[in-house]
Amino acid sequence: MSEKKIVPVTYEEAVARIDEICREMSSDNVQIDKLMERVAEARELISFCRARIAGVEEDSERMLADMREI
Amino acid sequence: MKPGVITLYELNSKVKRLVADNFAFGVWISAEINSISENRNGHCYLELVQKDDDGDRIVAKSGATIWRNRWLIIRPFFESATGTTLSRGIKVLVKVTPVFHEEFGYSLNISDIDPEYSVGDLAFRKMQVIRQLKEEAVFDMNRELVLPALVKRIAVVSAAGAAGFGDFCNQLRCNDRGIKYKIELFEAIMQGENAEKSIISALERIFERESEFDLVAIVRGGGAVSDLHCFDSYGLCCTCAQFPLPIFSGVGHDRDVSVLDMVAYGAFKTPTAVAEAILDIALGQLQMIDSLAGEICDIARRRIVLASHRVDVLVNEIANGVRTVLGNNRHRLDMMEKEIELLSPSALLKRGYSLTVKDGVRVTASSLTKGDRIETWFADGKIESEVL
Repeated sequence: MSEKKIVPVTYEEAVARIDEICREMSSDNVQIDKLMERVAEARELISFCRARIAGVEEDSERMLADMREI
Repeated sequence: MKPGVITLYELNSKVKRLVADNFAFGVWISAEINSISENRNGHCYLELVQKDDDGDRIVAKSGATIWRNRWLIIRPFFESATGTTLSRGIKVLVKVTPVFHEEFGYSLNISDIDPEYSVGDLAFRKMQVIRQLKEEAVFDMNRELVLPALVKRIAVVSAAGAAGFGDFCNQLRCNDRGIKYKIELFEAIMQGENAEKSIISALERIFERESEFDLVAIVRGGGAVSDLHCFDSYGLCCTCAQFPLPIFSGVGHDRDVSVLDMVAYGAFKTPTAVAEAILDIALGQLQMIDSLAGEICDIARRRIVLASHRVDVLVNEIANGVRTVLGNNRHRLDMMEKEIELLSPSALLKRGYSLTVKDGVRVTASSLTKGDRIETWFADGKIESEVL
């Protein structure tokens, strides 16, 4: 059941995994149980990615503010 | 004794009388001083000569005396009128009374002098020296040298104990910009008969170490009127004109410009003025450096402003780039989320639809046969049933 559930380390890995889930869900012979699991996993990954983007945005804003101050 | 024979004394007495009778009122003569000295009693003794037109051979010579009482008047009179002392080589117009002494023989008593004659003669000789230097094309040589940008090593020709040399050193060493000078004295006699030879010898000593100096200063303190003909002499002026280092002169001529002043790179009234001129060279350089430094600062400031503008532009570019990348990624995530929601059955189930699966996989009615066990999923759970 949880054989493929890898905890993503990077944003890129997370996005690649979401893509993979989309492809898997599009195929006809997907197991419904798995399907629900994948949806949950995808949601988790999406919120991880959003958090990453927000973090990067915050960091970059701070760095750019520093650059402007010099 | 034979008749008609007289003694030497009687003869000399006759000559004495003869001379005295013929020149009772004195006579003006022109002559050149060959030697001159003042004795302990204050009388002045001279040797007057006349040379042939080439100036080589003496054609007449006579001793002369200026008695103390006249010498006390003639000397200051001559010096104030000519700015120079009576000395060897000077041509004079003097009023003399020839005298013949029984024991000491023939001599001239000088009672008056016309300084204008000497002034004219000195000026004439000076012009001759100038003409000769110009004919030989050496007159402008020293002045055409290029003064080094930094004049710090000075060879000084002066008398050791002279006040002028002291003034010179003080002026150079006590400057408020803290410029340090290397001053080396090459001692020389600065006036009188031996001055020319002495100064030339000092210059020769400097010449041997030419590379150690930037400039030569020939200085002499002012003070009493003295014999400064050496500074008009051909030998000295020719040496100076051809000297490979620039020469600054400060020999304190009150009256007029010496030939040395004319051929020297720079001519000044006093040793102090020479020192000031040397300082001015360095001050000029400092000023130039200061203004260059200011220019560099201005240019740097302008560059910094330009560069900081460029950095601002770059920072904005980076900010825009970051914003775009982040925006693109957000958009992509939105799209993926929508796709996931679209593919997720739970939305359908919530709206009241149900989903039928067999062995965990979606099925359609036609794929089922009697007796198959199927699961039906609802929004709130699932039931199991069998196809009848």
